[in-house]
Amino acid sequence: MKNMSISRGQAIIMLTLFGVLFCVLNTDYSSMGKMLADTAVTVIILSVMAIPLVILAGKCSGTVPMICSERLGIFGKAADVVFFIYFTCAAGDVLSRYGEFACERYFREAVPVICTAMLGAICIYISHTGAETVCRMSTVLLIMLVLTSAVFVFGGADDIADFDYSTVTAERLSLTDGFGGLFPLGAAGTAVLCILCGGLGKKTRCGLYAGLAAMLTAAVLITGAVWTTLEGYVFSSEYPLTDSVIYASRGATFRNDGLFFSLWTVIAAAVISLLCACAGHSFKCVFNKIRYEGIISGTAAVILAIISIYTEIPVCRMIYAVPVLPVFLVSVIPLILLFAVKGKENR
Amino acid sequence: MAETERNIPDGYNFAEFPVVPDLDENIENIRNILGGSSDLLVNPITICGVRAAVLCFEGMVSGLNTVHMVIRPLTEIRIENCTSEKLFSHIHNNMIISVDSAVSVKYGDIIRRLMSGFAVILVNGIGKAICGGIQGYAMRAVKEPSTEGNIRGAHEGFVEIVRTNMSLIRRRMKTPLLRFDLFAVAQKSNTDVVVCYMADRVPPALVKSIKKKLKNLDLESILGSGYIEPFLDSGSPSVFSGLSITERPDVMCAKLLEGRVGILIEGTPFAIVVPALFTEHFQTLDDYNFRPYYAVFLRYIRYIAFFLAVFFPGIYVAAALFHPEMLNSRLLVNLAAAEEAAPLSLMLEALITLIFYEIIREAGVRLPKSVGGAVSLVGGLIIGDAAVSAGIISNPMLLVCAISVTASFVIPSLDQQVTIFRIAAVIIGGFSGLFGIALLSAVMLANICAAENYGLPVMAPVSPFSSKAMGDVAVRLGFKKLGGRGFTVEQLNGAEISESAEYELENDGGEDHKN
Repeated sequence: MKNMSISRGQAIIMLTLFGVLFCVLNTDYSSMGKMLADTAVTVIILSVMAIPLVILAGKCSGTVPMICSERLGIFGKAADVVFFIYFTCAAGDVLSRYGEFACERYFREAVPVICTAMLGAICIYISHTGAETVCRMSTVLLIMLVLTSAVFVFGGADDIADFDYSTVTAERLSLTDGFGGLFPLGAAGTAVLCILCGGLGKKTRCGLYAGLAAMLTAAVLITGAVWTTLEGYVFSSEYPLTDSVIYASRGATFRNDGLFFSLWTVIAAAVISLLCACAGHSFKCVFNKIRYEGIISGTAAVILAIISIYTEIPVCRMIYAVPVLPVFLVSVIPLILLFAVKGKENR
Repeated sequence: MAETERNIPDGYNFAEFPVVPDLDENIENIRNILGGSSDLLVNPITICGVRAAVLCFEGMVSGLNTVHMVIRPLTEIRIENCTSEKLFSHIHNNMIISVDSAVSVKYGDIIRRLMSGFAVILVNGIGKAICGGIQGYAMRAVKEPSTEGNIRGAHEGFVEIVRTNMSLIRRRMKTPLLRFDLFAVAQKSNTDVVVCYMADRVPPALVKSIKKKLKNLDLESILGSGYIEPFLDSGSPSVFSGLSITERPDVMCAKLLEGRVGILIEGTPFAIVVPALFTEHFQTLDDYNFRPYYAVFLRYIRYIAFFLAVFFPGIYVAAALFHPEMLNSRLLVNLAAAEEAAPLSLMLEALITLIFYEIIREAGVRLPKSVGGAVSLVGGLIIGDAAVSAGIISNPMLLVCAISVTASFVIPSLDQQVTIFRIAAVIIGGFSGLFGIALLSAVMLANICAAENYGLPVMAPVSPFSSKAMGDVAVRLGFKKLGGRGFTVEQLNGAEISESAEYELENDGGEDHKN
């Protein structure tokens, strides 16, 4: 079993990257106020949901799937299988959506299946190197993100300054809407901490809450940037963030959206690889003797993604976007484990 | 009599055979071990009526020193009632043949010393030999390193003689905490390898683990540092190494002070440093001699050069083939006009140019220096010019490839990796545009991040991030802040050098300790 040695900062950055990827793939920027409100509600829900996980990480060492298989016997193994399915489906969904996005916007000569397969192959390789490698990639990605954001702000400074901010109205916060938008990907990011807590230990709490705050900040900033640069065009744009970076580079000598696209692709590869690595870890908790768990989970995600694209049925999304699943994994299972640990201590 | 004592030592089985008292038998045995090799010189001499002999290898010892330090003092010995014991005792106690003289009782030791440039004195009736180092083999003078040039640093580089290299380090680090452990490795070549470290900076387990690995090397010979690098690297499937190579004693001293272990190898001027970081490829000794603001500027130039070296031709091909809308319209028109006449596709053009460059470079390296210059002239100027004139390769492509190749000269230690990734970027950029280039950069980033050696991630201190180390990565602080901080690589976040080394000691360095 691969141990993990990751820092709190890496965990925070990884959660931020989940937020960035959500903004890249998000197609609905129709109401800035509503989107920001939904995002805020999502982050609050996730913060509450993860309380048992945070307490568990402070009491037990190791990842949640590991503790499950050690303490809960056959039920624990079943829970690990659910973890595997959830992470694989999450990876498959992001893979298929990003593959379609990349094909549509930057690689029209290919078909989405080819783009997905190419990205999937890279993710299989990265997930094989382990979650620790992906977390190490995050620092470099953050540096690149800051640099590209500076390019964006520089290019779109006029639009940002000229935007009529009085048009942004606060929307009524809705708990139901909180489970849409950012929730599926944000929940996947939170669930990833069930694995990363093995390397974070007591730092999980800070990693989670700072990460969620960073995720919210990233989503707010990007939404603001999209709205201020695109204004009315945001309603007709299919991928508003992509169009906003194109729009923001109109004064430059070269169009710089290629720079952003390259960075988003690496971020997507990192996020999908992390999900695959987590799925692989859960798989290994069930089948200890398996050696290439990252490759197995990665291949499963690629197959699911290709099936989703080919059949046009969002197979992965149908499973991983159901709110019950992350609630079960991030709240219920850690809660059961906490009772199991408490029971053992009492005995 | 035991079975082994009746055997005659030969070239395959001699190391543990004891030296016998009979001089003739000893000489015969040594000749037998060496198979009558013609470079063995045996000088019989009779001193005060006792027979003795001086043995050495031709060309390995200094002729003048042999006469002055060994032959003449031996002929001048006057001992009353001389016996073998008295003579041996006199030579051993009263004569200083050399500063590293020693007594050997086994043929294995005698042969090793003979081959290291020692003169061996055998006295009839004594089952021991006196060995004195009077090396005089041809050696290259200490000169400026060929691979690590600098402006304001020392102009001394390592040479092929390991003892000279030890002295180059010792001269710069006059502290008893600098330790050298010398031992011979490899079954056939018996190459001298020196492990050097600062006793107060390096984790003891790391030194032990490295020494254990070196002593257990399953190699017949070591003819270069590349022979032992795979045994010291972590074995993770990464294109990037967790070791670094240096030809400079001053760089080696700096690394030792940071808690690394240096390995000097007889016969090569390239020393190995374990463990190493990726960011070190962008640091040179001149950075610490220049003013900090200029050193920071140069460092960022190197970061940019690395990016250009790897991705520039690939991005050019990708942008021109798949994303022309990203280019400035005037530039696009110029490029289109230049490429219109070229008969080959852009990707093929780039590949031909880069592969042709690799051929010219290889020819320049392998050929004698006098002809090497002509190769660059013919290859670079004449063929390059002709290729453009004939319309086979366009001017912009030649320019892009030339910039990329020139940028790679800025970071010569990453040359192998840059070459492979550059060609890969052209191919993938030619087939899948920026999407492919982005995927390649993800692979490269993951490849660097996955590499670690002895528990030290190669990507540290960037990731895991260590703010303390940023003073010498993101910027270059002045020596008032940098000089006396006693930084060692073990202090970096995420570094588990001691734990990893201890694990490898316990497990024969087999598997990665994290698995």
